[in-house]
Amino acid sequence: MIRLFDATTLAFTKLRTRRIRTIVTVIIASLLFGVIALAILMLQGGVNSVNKFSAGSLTDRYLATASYSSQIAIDDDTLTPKLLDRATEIYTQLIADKKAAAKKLGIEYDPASEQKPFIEFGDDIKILNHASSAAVQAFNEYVATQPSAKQELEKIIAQHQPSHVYPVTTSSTRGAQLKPLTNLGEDFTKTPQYPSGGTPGVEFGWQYVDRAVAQSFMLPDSQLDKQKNVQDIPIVAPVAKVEEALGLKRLPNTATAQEKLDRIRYIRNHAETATFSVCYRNTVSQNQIQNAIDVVKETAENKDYKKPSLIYGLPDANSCSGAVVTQDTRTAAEKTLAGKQDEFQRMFGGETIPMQQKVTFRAVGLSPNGLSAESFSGVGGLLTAIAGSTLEGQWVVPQQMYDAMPNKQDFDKFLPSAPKLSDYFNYDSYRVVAEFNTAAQVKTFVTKTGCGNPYCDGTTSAIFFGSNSVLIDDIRNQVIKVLAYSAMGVGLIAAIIMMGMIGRVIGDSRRETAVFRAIGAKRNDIRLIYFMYTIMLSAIIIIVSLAMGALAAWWIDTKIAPDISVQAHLIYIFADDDIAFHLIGIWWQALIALIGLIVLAGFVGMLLPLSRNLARNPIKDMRDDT
Amino acid sequence: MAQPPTVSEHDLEEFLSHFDGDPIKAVRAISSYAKQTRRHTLKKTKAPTGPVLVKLTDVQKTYKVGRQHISALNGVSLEIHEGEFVALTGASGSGKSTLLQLIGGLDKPTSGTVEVDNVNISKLRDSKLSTFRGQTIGFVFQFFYLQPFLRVSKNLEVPAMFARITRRDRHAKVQKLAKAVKVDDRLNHLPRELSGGQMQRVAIARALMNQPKLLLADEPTGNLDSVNGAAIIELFEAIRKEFGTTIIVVTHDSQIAARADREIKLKDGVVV
Repeated sequence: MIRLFDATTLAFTKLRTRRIRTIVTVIIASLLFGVIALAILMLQGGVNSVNKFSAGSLTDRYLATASYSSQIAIDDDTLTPKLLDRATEIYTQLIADKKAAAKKLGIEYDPASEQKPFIEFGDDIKILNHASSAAVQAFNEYVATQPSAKQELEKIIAQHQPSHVYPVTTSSTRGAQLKPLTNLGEDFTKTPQYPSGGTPGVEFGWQYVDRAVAQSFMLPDSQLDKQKNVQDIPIVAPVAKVEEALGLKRLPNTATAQEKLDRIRYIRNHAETATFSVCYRNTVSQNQIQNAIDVVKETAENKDYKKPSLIYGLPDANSCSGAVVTQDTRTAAEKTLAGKQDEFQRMFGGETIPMQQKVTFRAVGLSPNGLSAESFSGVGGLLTAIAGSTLEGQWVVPQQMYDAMPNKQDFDKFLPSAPKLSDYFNYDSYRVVAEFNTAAQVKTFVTKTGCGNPYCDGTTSAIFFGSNSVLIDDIRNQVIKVLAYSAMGVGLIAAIIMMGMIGRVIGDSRRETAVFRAIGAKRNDIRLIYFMYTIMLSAIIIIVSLAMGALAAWWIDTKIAPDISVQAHLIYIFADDDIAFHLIGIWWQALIALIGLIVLAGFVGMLLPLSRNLARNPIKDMRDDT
Repeated sequence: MAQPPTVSEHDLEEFLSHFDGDPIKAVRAISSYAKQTRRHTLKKTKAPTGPVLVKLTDVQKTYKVGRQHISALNGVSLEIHEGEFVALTGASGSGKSTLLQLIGGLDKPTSGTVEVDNVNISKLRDSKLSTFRGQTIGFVFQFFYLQPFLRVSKNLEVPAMFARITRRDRHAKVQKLAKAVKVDDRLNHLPRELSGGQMQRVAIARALMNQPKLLLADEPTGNLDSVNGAAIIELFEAIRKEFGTTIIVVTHDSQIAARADREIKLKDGVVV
């Protein structure tokens, strides 16, 4: 058979025939394959960058938060009649006790003001009345005999063998209110509204989480050591809130990438000085404040308004103190009666004494800002959504740091209360963060334990927590799948184009094949020549498509990577300053597969016309030509 | 010097009456006859004597065109000897090109045998036939069929590439053949930079690259002017002289036929 070098020499002349067609084919095929190359480079670049940024953060860990909520409903009509009897019994006893207490205190009491323990539907159906304290007590007695949410959840989680389980508890104010204390002090007229997007303030609550979970969001020890007032509650706070607390004005959207980076670094380096204060007020305190506001308002708006005998005034907005009595024209008898009524209330669990307390939190860590519509705009926003390593709720008190506070008992009122009826269904819930060793494990756990839809009425729920590491894995796998299908589609189109081109060149070479055959070429010689031609054409397409893909990736990278870098630094707050996000990465396996695809397309394109050519009679081809 | 025979006036008139009484027509006819007689005499003087190189025995070739079977050769038997320069002539469709292709092993006979250098090539398998063709036979085509993007030197090398001859040997042969066909000053040129005659000389050199015993040429001067055509004929004669190559030329060119050792005339697929 002809030597490889000679076959290559002859094959090279094929590239020079039909030059325009060859160039057009190379450009079109390279564009198609270049798009795949671009996707491969950018995907790998993105993954590499996320890995680089997330090293040491929660993104590296496989976490899920799971909760268990009892599904016994208080208005379930199948609950035993015994429970109805017990509620009635408590109700009867309560009325008797209240009657006796009222008689003893010398005040009036109307039993009709009590909520009935059950509601009747027709003659047969009776359900517990959730508004009745007697019914709730009877129900709680009943559920106390059932396995607790904690027991149930621990049992479920144990089946999946997590490496660690960290309890998560949510702060509770039990009807009290927290109001932010800003530089302007407390705004008495407004009730805090939970924001529809973005980052809520600490007044909406926080979570107590094991420090091991919050660790990657914590400030370095060197900064924490500077904090003098360890009597403030330690908290991991959202960047935006720390920015505000540091007295910084939010940067405009037009700020440059460098300005944004400088800002995040400043916040990070000064976060330990940030504090957040809220004013805690129980219901009585709130009512007195409201009384003060109402009197002022009514007096201003209504000339005929008759002021009450007891009037409160607003306290200093920065003091978080109780309302002050500005006027008390009550008679001695009225005051005595009010005192007795308060005592009556207290005897049956009511609050009568105003309570307020300034609660200060100190930033011990930084969490990414909450997601808002704005977060989803642009590639950087998308990155935030998919790759962000976030702490759920954003405000997190590291449990061990809280426990180490010398005055922790002052704040224990915010710890969640014992299980109790919170609504019709969920009387008891328990929540943990479970850590697993692999993505597969956490995925199985979430799939089997979680509900997967918002209308799910299951007792347990499980979602990925802390980061979207599994989501990133899933996205990567999905992208790979899409990429593979696209590559097949694009490859097919490119193969058809290449097939047309190679087929045409080989077809046009019938006379030449005939001449070669006449001067001694064997069929295998001809095959080798066209084999080398296909290899050369494929090699050109490979080089051009990879160059096009790399050039496009480089162009996109220079255009958008700086912004993504900023976004990434906002997400991975503690990543090294020197790290930058890049959208170019070499994924060898995929690139080799792409090269294989191009070569395969070439050979598929070569086979048919070549075999047709070789089967022809060379004489006929020479004769046709003349 | 012998005196020409005397002719009476009557005889002359009777003779001229065959030519409408036109003496010019008569002279032309006599001249033509004389030429034919002379050629016949010359061929007889160059009768083949060497060993037989090509032997066709009762060769028939039929083509199927649509539903029709067209007979290109009808029982051709002939022998061509080593060192012979043979012209295959005949009208278009007489079967001369078919005969050349059968001798060259480019096609197989429907029946009969084709032996070249004592090998029955009609029975060789494709691969062996290719090797045989490469080593024993050289082809020259009317349209040269050079590789347009290869320089002359590389074009000359092509048959040697298929014969796996080393590059050093190839280069030596290229120099020698280029000199023989007088294109040694054109070795670095592309075919498009050559004249028709030069291209054909390159094609002839290419055909001689593997030192074939038999050179087959299909209308080699058909695409050339008379000067270049004459030069090609001289080249064939020189080749035969220098390399001892047997040459079979399919041609319509009477000059070639006249200078060949033997003219084999075909008509309707048979040798006449």
